[in-house]
Amino acid sequence: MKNVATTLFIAVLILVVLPRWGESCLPDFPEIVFTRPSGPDRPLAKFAKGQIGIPLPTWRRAFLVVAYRYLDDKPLNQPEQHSLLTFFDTYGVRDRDVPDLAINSWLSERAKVRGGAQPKISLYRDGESPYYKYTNCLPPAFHNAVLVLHARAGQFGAKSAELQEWLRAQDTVFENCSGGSSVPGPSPASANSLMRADRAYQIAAAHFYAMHLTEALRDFDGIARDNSSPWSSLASYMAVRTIIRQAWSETKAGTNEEYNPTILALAEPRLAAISSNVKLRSVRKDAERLQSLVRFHLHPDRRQHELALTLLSGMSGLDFGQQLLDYKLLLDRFLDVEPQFDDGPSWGPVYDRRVKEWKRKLYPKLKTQRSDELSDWLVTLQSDAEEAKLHAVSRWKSTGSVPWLFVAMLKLDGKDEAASDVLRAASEITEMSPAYFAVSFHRSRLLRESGQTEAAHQVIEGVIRRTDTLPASALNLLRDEQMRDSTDFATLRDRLVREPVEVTAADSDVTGEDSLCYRNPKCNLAFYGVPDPTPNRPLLPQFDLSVAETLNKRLPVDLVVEAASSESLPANLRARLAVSAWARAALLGNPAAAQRVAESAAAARPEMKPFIDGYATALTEDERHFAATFAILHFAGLRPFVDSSYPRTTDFKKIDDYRDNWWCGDVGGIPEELSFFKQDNDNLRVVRELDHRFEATSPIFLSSEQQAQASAEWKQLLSMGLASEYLPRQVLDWAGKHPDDPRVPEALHFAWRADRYGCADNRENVAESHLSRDIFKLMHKRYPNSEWTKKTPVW
Amino acid sequence: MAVVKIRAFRRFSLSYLTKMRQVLDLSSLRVLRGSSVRSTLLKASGLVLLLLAVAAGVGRIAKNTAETRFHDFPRVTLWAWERPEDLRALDPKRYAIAYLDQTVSISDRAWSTPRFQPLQVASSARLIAVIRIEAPTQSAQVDVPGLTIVVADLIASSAKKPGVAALEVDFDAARSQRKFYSEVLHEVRRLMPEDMPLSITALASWCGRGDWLKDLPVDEAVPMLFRMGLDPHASNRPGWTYPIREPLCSTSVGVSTDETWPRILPTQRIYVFHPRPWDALAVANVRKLIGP
Repeated sequence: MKNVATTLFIAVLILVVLPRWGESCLPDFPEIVFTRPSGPDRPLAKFAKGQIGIPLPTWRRAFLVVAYRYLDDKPLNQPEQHSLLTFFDTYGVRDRDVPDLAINSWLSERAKVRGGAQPKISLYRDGESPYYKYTNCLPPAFHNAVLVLHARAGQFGAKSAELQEWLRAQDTVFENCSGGSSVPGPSPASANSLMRADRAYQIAAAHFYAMHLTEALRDFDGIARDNSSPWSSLASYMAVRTIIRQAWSETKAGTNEEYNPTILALAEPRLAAISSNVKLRSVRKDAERLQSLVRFHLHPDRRQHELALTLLSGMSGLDFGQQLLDYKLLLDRFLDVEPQFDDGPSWGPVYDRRVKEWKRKLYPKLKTQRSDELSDWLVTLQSDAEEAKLHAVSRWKSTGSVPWLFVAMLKLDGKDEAASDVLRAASEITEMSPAYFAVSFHRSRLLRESGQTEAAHQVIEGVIRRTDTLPASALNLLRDEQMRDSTDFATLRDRLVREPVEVTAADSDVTGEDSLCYRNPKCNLAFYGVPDPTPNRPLLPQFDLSVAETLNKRLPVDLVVEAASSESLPANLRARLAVSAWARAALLGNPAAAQRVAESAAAARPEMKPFIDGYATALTEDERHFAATFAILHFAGLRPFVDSSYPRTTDFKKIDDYRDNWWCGDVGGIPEELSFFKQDNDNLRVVRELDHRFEATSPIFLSSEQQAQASAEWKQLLSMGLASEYLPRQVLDWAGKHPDDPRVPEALHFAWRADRYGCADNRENVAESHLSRDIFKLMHKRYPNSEWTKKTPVW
Repeated sequence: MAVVKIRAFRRFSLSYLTKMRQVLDLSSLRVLRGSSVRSTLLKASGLVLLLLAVAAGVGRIAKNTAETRFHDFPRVTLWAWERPEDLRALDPKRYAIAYLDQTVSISDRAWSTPRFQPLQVASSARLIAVIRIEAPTQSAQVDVPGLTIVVADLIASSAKKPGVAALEVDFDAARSQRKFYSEVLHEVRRLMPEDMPLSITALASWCGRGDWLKDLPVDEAVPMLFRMGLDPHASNRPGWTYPIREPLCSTSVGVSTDETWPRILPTQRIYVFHPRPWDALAVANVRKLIGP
């Protein structure tokens, strides 16, 4: 008793007091990405130059606009490319710029002519409450001040009274940037005309920054009328800025408006006047930008269509990025709205279905929003309404354009009436066209779906040779299509491998050190093949979702076993497939198939050899079934299917902390989901839904008998359900019939372990399993002295 | 379980004290040697020590909001992010407001960008100023000398805003940035008023395994159990669970109105994100989910 208490005490101390050591890769749950869903591959510069790959409807809208240009063979020019990269990166809109460099530049130049303490200047001023600010003084104000400082220093001298007076007034102007209400006094009457003009402008600017907008407008208008003032042009522009600022500060309470439209409208004729006045050409460009802002807010629908035209024109130059951003924001207004339903929560599969239906019904109502070519194309591409498909075909027929051909092809399937027409048109797209890969992908798909497999094969083989200009995401899509074109098993077997694009936490912005495997040897081994990869080491090849579905559901086990010995599979995938094929064959009661892959499985996992041998030497079907169960129980990573997006990273024999052990209720039928979360799902329902989707098709070369066999085998595997229930039941059954089998206590122990640590079913109204209790009781009653019983102290 | 252990401990301690009196009576030592009392005493001491160790472990496993500086905050906090928000109608007894106050960006230097969208709150609102840190690993140089102090100063400045009763820092620190983040938080804690709570948001994975949070000078680390980047079907069952092992993560939880809520304990504070400006319907829906 004393020894027990002491031992227990020390054990508890160790567990709860001493620091924990080690870190697990999980639960970061890194995901392998084969095709980036939201946009093009990195680097964006290649995309900007025309490597558009295969655009997807899920891409961000800004990228789809660029894709349209290239599909239409109107490449971005250099300034447009540069502007795109300034505003966007591969994840969307770029982060904001550093705001205070302009201030630092001003203070640095100011210090050269006036020593002493530097004033504190901020770009931002408090709003109506202290919890938010607005940008009051923009960087160009400081750049301009630096230019004037140099000019006046050059004219009057760095130490001159004129310059010092100018500087004092300028400091007063900039005081208002962050708060307060400071206005310089007027120039003395004896000051020269230049200094008087400067002072007038500084007073107007001070009023502007201090939010004395009536005074600012009056003063700027006065300066604008004074042709002798060097500030006349700029004052015209600043007067418009003042009106816009007034519109912004006088919005109606209780509305969501950002600008008072009545006041904002006063800016329009002034901006038009600046545009048409030759004398004001120095401020024309800046006035045009203000015009964009005013139109964005006053006439959003019209502005959307204007921008659509401009973006397609090739005339945007360095304004391309800003115009693209504005256009995207205008589309987001009606495309990113999600309804709130009063009668239920705003999440979950029911809500998701309702939103999908709501968005489908929205498409035909968006006639006005779609009344320009680009918007029509984009909205149609991104809608999965039936009308969108019909409209795409109609637009292609009336325009003959490649962008519409692409959308029509994307939406059609091979059995649609219009498929043959689009296929004819697609055959005329040459390799020189930036649309070649995108169109060829869908051309191959449509040919295959319409039963023209040889033609599909020719198309895909022609495309896939050009891997040097293919982004990795597009290459994986083409490889998938190539796999589906396989006309015999040997060919398919050579097309199972995919090179991942990246590993990330789904849709995360991070890669490299933040790819969630950083410094974790187990994770790195699973994804990179070494525990400590060098930067830029490529990821190991993997099975993508289509390959996993094909191997796990669509092939009879005889062929899966044959694929496992394919030399065209890299070592990591061959090893993974060999062991899972053995488990699959064994569980399906196909000893011949199991035997054919036994050597490969044992080579991949030498620790399995005794168990594989035990299975091979079993004489009856029951004995083999138990031997298979016995083997599987010893290896928590052994499962009758292959992983895809989330390969298991825990040691093959060991229990994974997050229950990625053996299999969940889907038995590999949902390869794109984590085991941890499958515990909360109705997995059978999800499997049934997924069975109907586009990706899950039988290889075309399978005979009807083979298809039937694959289907029957899949049903049989699915009927096993959770491994944590299935495996223990098999052991209990065997133990009941063969209580004297010396393997039984060991099997019971591992069955107990499977029940405790296997993937569970956490849904409500699902009865809790008592298998570990039954096993515990049986062991302690029938095998009380077994070492395995001693290892099973609780239930 | 902790309560059961404490009760057992109390019952036990009386008999233990009785035995101790006998032990202290030196004239009884020879009587105790080899006696059943001595044997019982040894067993009793062992059990006491065992219970103390377990209680210490339990204490380490779960923190209690009552022990933190948040003890008098409303249970529910609404996040008011960078969009116009009018939250004057919220009952300050039932809801606190965590509003985005500024974003601190880091490259080879640090700078702050304030909140630009209007925020209107009742004068009695309990405000938590949230400071978001953005430091992309490709460009952020967190080892620049003096950067820690600059960043901490920027963060701590939010504490001076009227009505701000707590600070929350929101930073998805990469592994290589954790040391820097820890140093910043220590400096922020030093600069803040002593009784003002300090909270951080936490990636769910930080709360699952690994112990880098444990020495942070924060009153809570709020696990953000939404926008986890997984298939939305993965966690569509209300009351789904996520393994939280870090004590700092156990007193609060972050959820979103447009994703399934995980299991929330009655003792946990709840932070709620809404992907649109808050309105009466959204607040009412939150209330329905939380209960009275």
